Amino acid sequence: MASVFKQLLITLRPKQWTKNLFIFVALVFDLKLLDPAYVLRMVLAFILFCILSGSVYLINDLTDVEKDRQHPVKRKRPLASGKLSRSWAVGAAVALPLFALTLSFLLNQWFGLIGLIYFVLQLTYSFGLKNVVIVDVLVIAAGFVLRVAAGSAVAQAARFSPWLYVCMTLLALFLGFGKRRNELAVLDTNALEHRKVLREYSLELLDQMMALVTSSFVIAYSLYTFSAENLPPNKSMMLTIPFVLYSIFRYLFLIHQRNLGGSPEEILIGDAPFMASNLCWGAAVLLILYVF
Amino acid sequence: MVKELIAGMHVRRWLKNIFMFAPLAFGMKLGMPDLIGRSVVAFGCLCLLSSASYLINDLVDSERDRYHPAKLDRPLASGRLDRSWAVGAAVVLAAASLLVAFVVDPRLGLVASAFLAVEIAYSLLLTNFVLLDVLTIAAAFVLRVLCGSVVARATTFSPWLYVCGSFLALFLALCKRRHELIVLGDLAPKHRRVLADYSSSLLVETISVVTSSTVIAYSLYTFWGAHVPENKSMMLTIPFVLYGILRYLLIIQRRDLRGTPEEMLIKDPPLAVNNVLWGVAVLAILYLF
Repeated sequence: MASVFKQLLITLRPKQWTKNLFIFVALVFDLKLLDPAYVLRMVLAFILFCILSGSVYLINDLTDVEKDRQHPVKRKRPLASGKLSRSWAVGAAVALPLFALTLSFLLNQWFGLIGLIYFVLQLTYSFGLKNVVIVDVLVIAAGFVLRVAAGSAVAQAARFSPWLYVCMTLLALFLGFGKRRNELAVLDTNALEHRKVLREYSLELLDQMMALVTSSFVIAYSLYTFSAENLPPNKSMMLTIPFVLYSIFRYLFLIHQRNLGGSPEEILIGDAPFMASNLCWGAAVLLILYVF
Repeated sequence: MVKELIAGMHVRRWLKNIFMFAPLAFGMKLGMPDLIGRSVVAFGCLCLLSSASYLINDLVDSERDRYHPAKLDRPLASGRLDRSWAVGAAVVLAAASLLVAFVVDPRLGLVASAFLAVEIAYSLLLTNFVLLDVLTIAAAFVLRVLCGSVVARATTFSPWLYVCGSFLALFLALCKRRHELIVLGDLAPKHRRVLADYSSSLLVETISVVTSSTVIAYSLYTFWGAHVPENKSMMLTIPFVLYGILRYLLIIQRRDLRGTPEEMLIKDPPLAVNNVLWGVAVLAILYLF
């Protein structure tokens, strides 16, 4: 029994849950980080979202089980290796989303609705859209925007700048295109076989799109720092622009010079200068929002 | 020795400090003699401070400059200027100009000290870190504008001036790296260690990021900025900015440039004409309409 739960948990991909931290963006930027009632609701929302996004992986693994058995790495996954029985997985794949969605609607109806949209979108991604060039990355970006929107619903954010949505979308597109670029640059044949859409991309096209979303992101963030409503009138938020610039350029550097970018979560905790810049940015933002 | 010392001060690069007058010009204060006077004195301070930092930079770099075709002739690299003279001059220049800056306005003194600190930190350390080097150049640029803002007694803070300006500074710095990579090829890291960490593809990408950001930020300034006329006529200056940036991108691809890329801002006839036209158009729109 314990082993079933362990295998089930592995299938829900806890490593990917870090992405769901984007739910808290609205809480932080709407200045509600110190309000325990909201924080509690947000933590609950975060857990529900983790269950929901985990179920997508579970459903994905269930449908791909035959294909995964042929893959040198993926054959070790709980379902492909048989460590998790099919009946348990099917049961969980039905029960978990139902459970998470019901609680989500009870928590906040908008949160429930956004959760449902997110769930459906992720399923369409797994079953088709991931093979459509450009749309694949757009769907990934939409996932991030929905996370932020879900958080904003639970936090009942009133002064959440629209620029932050734009920033999030562009940042997610940046990460998505960066991932494709890395996959194409290292180009191992396995990746190409597993991700058919890579054949449609070229390095040139990806570089151009990355440059486009990067500059749009930088501008959108700059606009946020001096035109959002709940910021200090002395424009001190502009002092955070250099960190954002450095981080994004550092990321480009890692993609171009070190052939990284395949898994953003690893860069996030793997590259010291990038981490330092992000921490400085976070500290500066919190200081400016909450102290001044 | 004095002649060599003046050569080591890189008087030509003082041109960068002209950006200091931006808050005066864009803040509609070009008609106020006392503010102009303060600004000219502050400009002098910045020029001497930057010369002090160039002397320190050349002292540190003299070994490496010997490998660079255009730099081996510098007073310190060639040995014509005594090192002790250079050190003495740097200290005297820095101390004197900081003193004047504090007398003119204590806040100017503070910003000018920060400027000197950033320039020295760049020469001694940050120049070796990929990306941090160009960001430091942009930071020095922001401090120049801040100096100008203090002496012009700017009351309204215009974010556009800083955003546009720092993107432009980043653009120029990245273009410089790109040009050096094109001209020097494999020898590049010998001249500037950090160039080993840059590649053309990274530079092309970052340059296109700052290029589009500059153009967008400038366009937004032309219709949202402080003091621009109601009829949006400032938008008429966008084509000059576009042409200037695109022309600059073209110039840095050339291997046979006679001088540094920045010098082309005033030496390349089409670019120089364009810049003058832009300046005239901006001043006319701000002050006449």
